[in-house]
Amino acid sequence: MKLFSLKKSYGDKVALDLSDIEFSAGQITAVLGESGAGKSTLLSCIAESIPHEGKVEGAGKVSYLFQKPHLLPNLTVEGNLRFVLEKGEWSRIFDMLSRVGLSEKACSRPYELSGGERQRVAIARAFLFPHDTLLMDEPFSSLDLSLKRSLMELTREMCEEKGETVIFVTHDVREAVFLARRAVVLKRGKLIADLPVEGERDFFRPHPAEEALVRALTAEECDKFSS
Amino acid sequence: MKKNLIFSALSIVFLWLVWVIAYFIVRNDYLLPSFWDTFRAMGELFADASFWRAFGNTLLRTVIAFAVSFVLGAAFAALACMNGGVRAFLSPVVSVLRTVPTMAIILILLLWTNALVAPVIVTLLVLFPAMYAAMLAAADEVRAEYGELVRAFKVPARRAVVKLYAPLCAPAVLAQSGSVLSMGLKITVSGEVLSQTFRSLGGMMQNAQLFIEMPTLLALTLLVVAAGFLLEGGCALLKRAAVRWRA
Repeated sequence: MKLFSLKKSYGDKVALDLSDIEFSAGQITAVLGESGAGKSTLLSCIAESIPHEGKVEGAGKVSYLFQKPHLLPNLTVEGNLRFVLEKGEWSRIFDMLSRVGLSEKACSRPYELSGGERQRVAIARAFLFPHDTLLMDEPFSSLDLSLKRSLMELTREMCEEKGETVIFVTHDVREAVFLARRAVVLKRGKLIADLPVEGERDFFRPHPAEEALVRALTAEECDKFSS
Repeated sequence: MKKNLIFSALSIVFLWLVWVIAYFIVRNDYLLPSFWDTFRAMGELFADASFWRAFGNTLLRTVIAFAVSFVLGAAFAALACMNGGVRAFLSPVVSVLRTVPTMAIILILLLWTNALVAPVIVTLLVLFPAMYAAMLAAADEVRAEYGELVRAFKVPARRAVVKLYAPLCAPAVLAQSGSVLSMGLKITVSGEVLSQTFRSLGGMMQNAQLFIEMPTLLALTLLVVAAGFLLEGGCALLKRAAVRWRA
């Protein structure tokens, strides 16, 4: 997927102003930044859900994993998955539910599920929906540590299996280095760092890439880490 | 729950006591009839077939006006939710309908239509803004919570309406429907009184006032209040039956 001179403004305020950037298929890219850095705007531009300047090429069909699970309270787990799928795709639901460990909960309603189980349904929904690109908007930010780790491991496994382009927005450096192979940092809508995240990763131990990312995130000037 | 029921029962007893005390202070049956005279008049009404016919006609007018306002409210709220232009266009129309005096509408409608139709139209005109506002508020709330999901997964409009908007708007709309329906009954009766509609509760009230039959007038009034309570209760039961999930 390639982004060409992507720019989005709200009135006089520039929310996003990127030069050309490419995202490889089969790679998870973390997009880091503080609030208002343009992370969610970037996702909206890729999903073409807001008008913008520049061009997005090769995104194909896009699936979403939101911060909140956004499950319909009137539908069962299975009903929630059916809601975003066409009839011909329903046969994959039970395989996916067993993949995320919820095969016993297919007939449960969201209020009968724990927070983690709800987010698992949202993960199942995001992966079931036919897509070429997966956009994740801080889906683990409100979970406790152990749940966060298990769901991130599950997500990483599924992403690697499918070999799709994944853009993972977060403000948490630890999450970024645990899940992604590449991390970019946005500041006031501009890209100020683009780093590979290599080597082994352990959720409970700091990763060497973390220091550089924290430096970029806390930098005062926008151009300090520009390549 | 049980405690609330006791307080509600106490409130009814309190109102009854106020009536009894007021009766002994006023001591004029033409101004304020006694509870027992009113109760007796109510019994006579129950035994009279013309009362039930009038009651049925009034209820039918109310239900027709409510049903049409419900359908129109849903249709226009859906259009307003999808299109900001429609919302802006309807906003002053709804404000005018809300503020125009009910009695003025009835008088105008009596010139244009007849005593049978005028109460239905006036009730419809009063109920429509309330239903429209309730449905639009409910739809806006659902859209704020789930609009992103529908857009991201490109859910077809028909599926979004059937599986998302209709069921999630239902609790708020049904909760509002009870009070709207009860208000509709009140407006229909007012319309019938002013139009002197034949074979209607309003018409019967007008006759009772004309012949200074205060116990009958008060009994009819209490029966309208009771019918309003029943309609509200019916909507609450419908809501409980229809909404079996929790948010």
